[in-house]
Amino acid sequence: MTPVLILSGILFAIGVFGVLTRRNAITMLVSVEIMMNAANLNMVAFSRLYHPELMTGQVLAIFGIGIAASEAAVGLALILTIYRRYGSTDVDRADLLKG
Amino acid sequence: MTASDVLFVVFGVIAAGCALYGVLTRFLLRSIVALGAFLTAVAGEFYLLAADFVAMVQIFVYVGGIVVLMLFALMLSTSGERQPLAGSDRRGFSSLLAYALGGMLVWASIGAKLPAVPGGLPSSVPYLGRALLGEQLFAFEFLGVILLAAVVAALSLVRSERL
Repeated sequence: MTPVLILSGILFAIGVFGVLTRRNAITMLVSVEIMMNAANLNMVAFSRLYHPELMTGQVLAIFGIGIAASEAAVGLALILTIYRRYGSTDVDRADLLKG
Repeated sequence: MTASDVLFVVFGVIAAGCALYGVLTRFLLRSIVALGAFLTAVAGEFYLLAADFVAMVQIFVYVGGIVVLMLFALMLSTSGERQPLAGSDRRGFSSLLAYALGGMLVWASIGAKLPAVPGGLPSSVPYLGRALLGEQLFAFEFLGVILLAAVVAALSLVRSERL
């Protein structure tokens, strides 16, 4: 069990690093997907460890994959809108609401 | 050390390496392709944890759907030019934060002293089918509503003004 948790912790940290350092919206979305997969890995592992016959963790992982799919669809639509308006997918350029 | 332990380490190294490369590379296309390899390796981990259906869903939805969607967004938005990284001050702070978070998570997982994952690979599909259409039916149907809302939202966002 511990190796799975260590792996998912490392993957989550890599995702956090990507979200914080990259300025391109598509790469930020890639990092968010890495973080979501780290969480899904934990859910499946705990489902295997406790009550494997109830499948609650695996159902939650499938739910998470569906949420990630809808998040990617809306996020990529937003990225295309930003690109049309600013001519780039650099998130620092989209500062219309900045005070 | 059994075969599944070796496979676990192999898939884990591939997943971590591809995630790191996808986050660090300056080419957007390579980042997305590395994400595809990372997702496939994580699907292998799912299979080793007796979640064969989740592994298949991961490959169908993520590698076949989301990665292709990202490639289309890349095709429609930018060319394959180099993408600048953030400034060095922000990068140092971010790597410090990521190191701290990763170290904390690894330390907590070692300290938790959880029992080992039981071996053996029974197929989870019959149990999962009963759970999805029985006890967890609300989550299953709700997921469909969320996906519909997301598709309508995406369509209304990218709709061109001329229509």
